[in-house]
Amino acid sequence: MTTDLLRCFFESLAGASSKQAFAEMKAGVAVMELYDSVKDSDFLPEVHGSALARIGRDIRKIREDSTVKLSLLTVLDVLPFWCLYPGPAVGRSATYAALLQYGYALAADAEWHLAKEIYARVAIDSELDHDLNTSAQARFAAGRAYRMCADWDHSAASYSRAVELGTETGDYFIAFRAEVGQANNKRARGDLPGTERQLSSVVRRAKQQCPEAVPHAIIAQAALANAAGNHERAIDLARRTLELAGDDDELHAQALVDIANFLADYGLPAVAKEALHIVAATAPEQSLRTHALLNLFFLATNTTDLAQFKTLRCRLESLSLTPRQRTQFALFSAQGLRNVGKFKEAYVALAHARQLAEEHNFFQLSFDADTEATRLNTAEAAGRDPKTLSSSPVYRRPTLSLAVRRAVAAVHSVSISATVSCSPLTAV
Amino acid sequence: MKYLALLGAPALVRTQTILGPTAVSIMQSSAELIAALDAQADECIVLDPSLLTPSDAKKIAVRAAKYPVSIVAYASLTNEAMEACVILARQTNARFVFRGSANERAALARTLIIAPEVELGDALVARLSAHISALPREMNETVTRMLRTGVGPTSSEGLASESALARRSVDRWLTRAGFRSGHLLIGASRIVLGYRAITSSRIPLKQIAAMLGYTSQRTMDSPLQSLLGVRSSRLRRFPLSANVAAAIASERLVDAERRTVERDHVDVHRDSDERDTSDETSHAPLCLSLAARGRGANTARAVPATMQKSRQ
Repeated sequence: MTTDLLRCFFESLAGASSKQAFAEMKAGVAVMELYDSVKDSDFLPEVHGSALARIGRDIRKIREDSTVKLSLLTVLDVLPFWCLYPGPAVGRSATYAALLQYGYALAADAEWHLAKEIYARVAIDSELDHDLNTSAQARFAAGRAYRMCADWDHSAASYSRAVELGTETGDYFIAFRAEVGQANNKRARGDLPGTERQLSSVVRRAKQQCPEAVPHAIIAQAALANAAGNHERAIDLARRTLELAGDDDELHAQALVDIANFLADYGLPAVAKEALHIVAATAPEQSLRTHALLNLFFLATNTTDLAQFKTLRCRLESLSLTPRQRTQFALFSAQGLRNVGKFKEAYVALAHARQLAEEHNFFQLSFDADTEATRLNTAEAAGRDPKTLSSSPVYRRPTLSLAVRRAVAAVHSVSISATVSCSPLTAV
Repeated sequence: MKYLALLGAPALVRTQTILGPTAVSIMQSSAELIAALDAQADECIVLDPSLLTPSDAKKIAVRAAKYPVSIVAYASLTNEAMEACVILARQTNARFVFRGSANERAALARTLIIAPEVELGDALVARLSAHISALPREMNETVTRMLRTGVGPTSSEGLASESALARRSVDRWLTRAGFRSGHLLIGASRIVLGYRAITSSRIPLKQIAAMLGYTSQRTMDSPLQSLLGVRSSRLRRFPLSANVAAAIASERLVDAERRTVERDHVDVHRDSDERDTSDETSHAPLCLSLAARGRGANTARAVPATMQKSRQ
């Protein structure tokens, strides 16, 4: 096992917040150790059989609601079919696929620092094993995981390699999605024109070469339009993604979160809340649910909904957040605290947000923190009631455009179907 | 092409969405699938290995060896499924799509649409067997797999890596065996993979080019032009039979100028039976040979036989 992976596992073990989390990490270490051993020597029943059975017993003791349990058992299921080169590659490919699923499970639990190491490991091993399709997938996943950890250089390198491998093997879905990832990196660092150019190029080429990748590029375009202040276009593009998502649950939930954000920015917080509640209760990934909660928190800070502000703040504090989410959380907390008149606490939260933004190169959030500081200072100097100063002015349009009305109808329709299928909307 | 599907309900729906409901014949059991394989030819099987017992998988492998058939295994990562997967991988040219991957839908679509032309692959391997057998064992296996299934390295570096040789050694071995270049071999394997989609589907050629790993239709046309003498659009309008295509491509894959010179060297590595096969290869249709020679004469570097031997 690589030093980085071991270090990440030990950090997670040291910081485990519950017995369940500790057991999950422990099982992860054991499975990766076993994988290493099998990879070097082939699967030897007399050597690895007993270890496999013992680790399997430990994993089965983990609670059923664990995200990683099933993926770890899957790795154990396929490891006995590992066969060294030049034997059939299917056992090795299956093992890489199972390890990737373990990575996805960790990412769904927002354990990005561990997920990135698993992805990186699979990427290297599968590429050395000439399994370029798997390697492309792993590089793409690693690109996202590194971005979540604000490791921009590794993220760029991973995406870049994913594009190369995806193009080489004809897996344009991965190649285009990796390009969308590169564009998202640019957007996160404030290069909006560069992002626009890259996304337009991806959409144009994907329409001809890989139509399945188009919705992923369009949702990124929507985020870009919103960042540039073109809310109506953002809403329209997100609605189009919602229509194109089909049975892809992850993309569907992502589009719903984004529509909610854009509607909130546009001045329709009630519809936005409706969409966010659906995602927070029904999204397949923990990271998406957290994202939705964070956005609900933002809405609560700006509408001075004190009760919900406090509840959501407590909930988010107990969750594992990415660096970007932690920065946003600190910033929104500062805004909310200002709105309720707690200036001292607001300054502390703001300083924390600034520190995180600078540490991880989140330039846009850093600017937002500066703006918030100005607002706070102005409010104090003028002696005005801070409650009258909204951090992000929420306004309602007298008339809604056709694009926005369509999007609102789409959210209502999703909301109705979620209610009919008995989704626990009250969970939030 | 007909698709015989032995899948669970969700996987079947996904397959039908990709191929259209009329293209898929639903099999209710492995026994029905095996019986259908005996009755039909020229089809693609899409199956879930977890629905097969090891003996079923063996029976399918035996049928697949008898009749040209393309197999796509849409597999979940379970112990039961893996047993059948390993049998299929060992005994057939099955291609695998694992569930739960980030690109599952796109990968399944690509694997189903781009089904290799088994007959073309087999014919190419048969025609080039004398040359292939002159290669070292690992390289021999890689080249055979590439030509037969269309699956394999996509660059000369990849070919070198899979053959566990240095890039220059690969070039040297290919030259010794009489091949023009590794680049053309890779082009041929991609033609095997995309031939059926080009000649018998309505999928836009740009999309097929992308699925084969080419950046544009024009880049896909380049190896087609080199090996078959036609562009993809013309090939779609006037498809060649697999045997004719194999005859043309095998002529052009091998260095026409050096074919007779190299024979002394290649003969060292093969027995008398193989020599007979090679003689048949060299008597490919005259018009095609001439076309290939006309092209090859300008580009190939003629290396004297003595020099070849001294390189050993």
